[in-house]
Amino acid sequence: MGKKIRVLIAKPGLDGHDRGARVIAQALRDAGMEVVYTGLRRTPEQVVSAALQEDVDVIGLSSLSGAHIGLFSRVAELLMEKKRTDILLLGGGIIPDKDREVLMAKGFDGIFTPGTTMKEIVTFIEENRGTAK
Amino acid sequence: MNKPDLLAQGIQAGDEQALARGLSVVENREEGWEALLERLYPESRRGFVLGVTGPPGGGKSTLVKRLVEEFRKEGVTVGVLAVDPTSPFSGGALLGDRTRMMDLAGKEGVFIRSMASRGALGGLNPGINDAVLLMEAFGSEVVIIETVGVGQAEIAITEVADMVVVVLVPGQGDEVQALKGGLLEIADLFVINKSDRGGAEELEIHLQWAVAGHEARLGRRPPIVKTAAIKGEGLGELCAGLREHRQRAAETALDEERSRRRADLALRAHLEERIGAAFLTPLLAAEEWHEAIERIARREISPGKSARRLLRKNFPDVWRCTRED
Ligand SMILES: Nc1nc2c(ncn2[C@@H]2O[C@H](COP(=O)(O)OP(=O)(O)OP(=O)(O)O)[C@@H](O)[C@H]2O)c(=O)[nH]1
Ligand SMILES: [Mg+2]
Repeated sequence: MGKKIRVLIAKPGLDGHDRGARVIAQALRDAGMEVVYTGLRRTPEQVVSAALQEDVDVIGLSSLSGAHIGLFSRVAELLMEKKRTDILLLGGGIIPDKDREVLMAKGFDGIFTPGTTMKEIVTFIEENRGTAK
Repeated sequence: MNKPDLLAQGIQAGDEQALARGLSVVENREEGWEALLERLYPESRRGFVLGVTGPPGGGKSTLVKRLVEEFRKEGVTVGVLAVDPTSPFSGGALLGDRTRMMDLAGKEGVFIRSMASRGALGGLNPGINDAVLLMEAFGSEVVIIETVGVGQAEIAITEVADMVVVVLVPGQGDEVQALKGGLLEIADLFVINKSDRGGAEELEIHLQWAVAGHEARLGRRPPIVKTAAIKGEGLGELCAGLREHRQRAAETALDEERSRRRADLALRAHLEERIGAAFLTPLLAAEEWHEAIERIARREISPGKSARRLLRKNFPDVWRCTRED
């Protein structure tokens, strides 16, 4: 059977649609990963609780605007509290440079903006998962 | 203490992260998986295993979420195993059942795990039995397994579950198809979900006829319950149906029969896995395997004859006992 890379994709925050998150979930599935998709309007607490029960290697948070930096940060904090910074934490969406720096300082491992190709994301996950900080 | 012992102890103490890790260990057959199962087997109490199956999009996950809420009202702890198909093309999987259950995330007494079918013949993950055992050891009094009822998955579910609920939807025209596919045989109870839409009564009448027609053969007449999972309607009746079934199963020999079926499946799965690993896996990687495939594809040799030759060459003892003459 062997180990598959497990990823949880969530879109925190109240607004918008989840088309972008769905596209990423499907692309990661097509790259051979097992993707737990949790849909829209998730609280950071729900995201982390689900990620721990699902024993994922990667959490991907999607956002349409920079408005979710607080929610993103909270996920990083909760992972720190649970001592699970071994989980690769990624953010994607329209995220301004200054927010990127804040998030990386909070414990994010990668931030992907709309210019990033799916292939780059897949390679990043394959190369960086399981590397404990 | 070694890793399996630590995990086993954590699981039995109700540590969620230990269960999460343990489920991965048995699913991936990671080092120590057998020791972990050995540790947990004798000490785990048997829970009630409820299978929920039916055609895609019928509202199974929405219904499971409602059922979990009902069980929690009574203080019953629940584990959910939500199985979605592995893509035969990439080996990956999109596990989307949680989307309908996120309100349950972080709630006490509920543990939800998504599982890919991982190419198992029966459409159920080969480790499903072991996953159920881990949840029982963790203390889940009820374990709900959600699978998509297409192909063989519905047959496999009866070998794991104590009770099978088949979820159908009115007005899709596929209900007759679904019954032909074998869902009639495996159902202990039918749910007609989305009854807030039209057509539920027609489907109910149709089902009643089908069920009555098969009563003599099946030896039972599964009840039919109408629900609207999205609004939480019909849940009381459904729960009553579950209770009735459990009571009847305990009074008759059905419980023991299901226990034996589960044991049978578990034993067979473990044997097949070991036989496959010992005999087939090395052969599948061998040069002569690829040669055989080429020749069969060119129709130079039949698959049956090719199989006999491979057996004779690699496992002469097996070959000798399978010879027809
Ligand atoms: N109108 C109506 N819609 C419902 C009801 N129950 C579920 N749905 C909707 O049906 C769709 C599918 O629901 P799910 O619970 O995901 O169905 P499922 O059977 O688990 O789907 P798969 O796991 O993908 O096979 C969702 O959009 C639900 O909101 C219901 O009682 N009435
Ligand atoms: Mg579902």
